[in-house]
Amino acid sequence: MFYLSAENRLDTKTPKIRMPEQRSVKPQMKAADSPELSEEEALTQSITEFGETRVPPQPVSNVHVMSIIGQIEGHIILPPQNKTTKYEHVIPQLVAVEQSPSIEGLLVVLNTVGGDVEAGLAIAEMLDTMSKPSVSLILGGGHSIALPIAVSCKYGFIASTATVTIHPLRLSGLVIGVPQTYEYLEKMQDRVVKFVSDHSTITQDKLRELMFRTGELVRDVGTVLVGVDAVTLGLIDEVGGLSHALQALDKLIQEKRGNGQEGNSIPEIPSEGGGHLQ
Amino acid sequence: MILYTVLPLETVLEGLEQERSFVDIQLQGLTLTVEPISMEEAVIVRIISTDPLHYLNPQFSPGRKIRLFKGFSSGMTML
Repeated sequence: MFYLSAENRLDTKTPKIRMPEQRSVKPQMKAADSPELSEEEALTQSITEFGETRVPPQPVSNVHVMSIIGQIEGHIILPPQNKTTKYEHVIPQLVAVEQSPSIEGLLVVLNTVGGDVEAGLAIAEMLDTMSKPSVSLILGGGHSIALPIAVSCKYGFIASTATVTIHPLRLSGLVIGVPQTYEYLEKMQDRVVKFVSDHSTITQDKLRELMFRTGELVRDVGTVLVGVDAVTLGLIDEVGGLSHALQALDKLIQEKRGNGQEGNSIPEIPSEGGGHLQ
Repeated sequence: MILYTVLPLETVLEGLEQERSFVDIQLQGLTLTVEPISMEEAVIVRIISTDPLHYLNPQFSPGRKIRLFKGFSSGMTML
């Protein structure tokens, strides 16, 4: 077992903290002579108390992985049958990633069915304005609000079998039947369309055309793009998988290192931000 | 709230009426919102902290089950 190898046995400080006070005298004496025993005891304790083994110590990675899965949860906590990505957790995580000196890049793995517009756009804006390199990878599906998140990263990949569904926004709940409701909906949709077109090479008109296309989805309006289609249309940069995404991220990290303090990614941000307002 | 999703809204929102009760607890110096699932266990719903590093700590990730018991202090503790 990897976690019991000679080097790792020496690291007994962390598990010792978990020892209950009643048993603290004996293990501490043991720990001084034979670190293996206390390590094993900590492991057994971890199994009995949490029903899980301790994750074997790994070499420290300079890349952080964030998986955006299921529904992107907004201001309402969704019922428990949904798998959700909680924006109030993801956003501070992005702050920590941006701030942490040991993390140099972020890999965003997407397999999501969509979710709250504002929460999705909030995550996308955070990713967009991060100074550290980020690469997105769509696996399975990156539907609806996942698209802004995918394009917000510096570079995007899509698995060849993954799909992106582009469809119009819909209002839920009580809708007041006045023309202004339509205008409001249009405005909300524009936020998404504008963000996606600003961060990819697709035009707003083309994206709207895909959004309102009929005949592609059964009983619905919109388009399903499979892998290479999303690349051809300029939404995603490349078709690829895990190794491609990590290689691209590594390249971006090397570039950033090479640029040093005068990294060109930092001055880029205000000009990109200004572009949104136009 | 506008949900922009490919799933039918009925599927997503099914069971929304069911009331869920959350409690805020103090654990290792930070506040957590948890959903008790039994007398002894609770599931972390949200972290309330201004330290971004708390959000990277897998011990406090939402969905994690924690065991509660009344300690010597008034707070609840993780085993």
